[in-house]
Amino acid sequence: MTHALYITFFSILTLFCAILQCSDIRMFGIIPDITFGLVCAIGFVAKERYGGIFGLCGGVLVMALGTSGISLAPVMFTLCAYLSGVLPGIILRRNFLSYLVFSVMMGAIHIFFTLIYYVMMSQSFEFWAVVGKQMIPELFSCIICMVTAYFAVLGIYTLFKGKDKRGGKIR
Amino acid sequence: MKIFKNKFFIIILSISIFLTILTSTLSIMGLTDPIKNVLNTLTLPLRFAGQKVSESIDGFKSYFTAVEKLQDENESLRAEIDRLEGELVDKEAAKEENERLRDYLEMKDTFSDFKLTEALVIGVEGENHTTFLTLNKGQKDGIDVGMAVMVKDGLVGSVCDAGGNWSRVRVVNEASASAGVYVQRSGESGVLCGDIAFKNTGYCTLKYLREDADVENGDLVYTSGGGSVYPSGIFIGRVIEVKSDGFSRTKIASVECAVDFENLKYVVVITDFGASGE
Repeated sequence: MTHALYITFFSILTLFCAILQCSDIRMFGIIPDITFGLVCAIGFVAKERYGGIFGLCGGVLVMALGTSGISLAPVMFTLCAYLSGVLPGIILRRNFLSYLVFSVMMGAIHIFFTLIYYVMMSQSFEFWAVVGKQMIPELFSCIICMVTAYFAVLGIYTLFKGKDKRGGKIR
Repeated sequence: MKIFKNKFFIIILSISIFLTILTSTLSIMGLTDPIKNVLNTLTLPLRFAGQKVSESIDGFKSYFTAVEKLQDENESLRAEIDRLEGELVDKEAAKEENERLRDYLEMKDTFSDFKLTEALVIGVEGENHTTFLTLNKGQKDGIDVGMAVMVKDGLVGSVCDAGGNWSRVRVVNEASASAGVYVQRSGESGVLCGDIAFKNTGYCTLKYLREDADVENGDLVYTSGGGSVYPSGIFIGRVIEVKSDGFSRTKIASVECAVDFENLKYVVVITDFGASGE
């Protein structure tokens, strides 16, 4: 029951973030990837399976609601949300400080995908202009979204779950 | 690496790659993506709510980020106000000069036989009411003692003293001033004199009218040209009171001067008025 409840909450939250991201919201002059931050936080808190599934759903939602033409959102979201869930078990610990480190890592992957997109879609572009006006603001907005989402997801997860199945406490 | 050999990961990544390729291909081919179509249709009512939420967030953000922007805007607006005030002052000055020059031109047209020289009033003398005016032009500009001075409204007085680049004007209602005048309506002639009793009022006394002279309140008084100081036909003022002087058996009238002697800035000196002044 509690499992179904927090899944429902995460689903509603993912939908809400995807819709909000596709409305006229701005951070540092760019659109913040709120959904990306959310699915990575879900992956970190609720482990890689949920991260993978919600990453796929979040990516498809963002692609459907907010993009046209070629979109790498499903692949990027799935990959990053999954890695957010699996890497803390391998390197570092599952706590807030390590989450900050993962935020920077996932932010870097996000802006790498942005660069790939620019390379695919533009015949030529000014690299440093893209770095300064797009990639760096995107990195910071990703980190902020991920940190904010972490507290929301952790709150919901702790409320319904308490301890994880493996016996380790979710901090 | 183990994490990438995980069955779940391979399946989910394959699905995501498939969906990416499918939607992108459909989009490039110009076909409607069914996934996008369904999701957009279903979430349309929620999009309006999402828009409202993002507007609220933007409004909340702008409350804090707007302070610096408002300060900059405030400074630039102050600078703009200063600039506009400066422009306004310039424009007011230009307007004033325009009116003055228009009046001067009008006078030149009205008195086409006269030679006129404009001068600036740089000083006044007298107690309470002006009696003498100091001008910024003198003999170098062709101004000499005995020349008449006027403005658009009427007669001011005559030059009583002149230097190289200055001159002094005795106004027409000064106690020692006098001018030959006539009443426009009836043609009655007399002498306009300043009176110490009228010093603070801007009035003059019209003397030496015949006992039965036809002069009434409201009559307009002009210079008659008598005395060779003032040319004929310059407006002086309006009769405000008429009374008889039993002692001299003449009529005396009080004339209110048309010129506001206290607010004179520019005057015109008649340097030559030819034969029409006689």
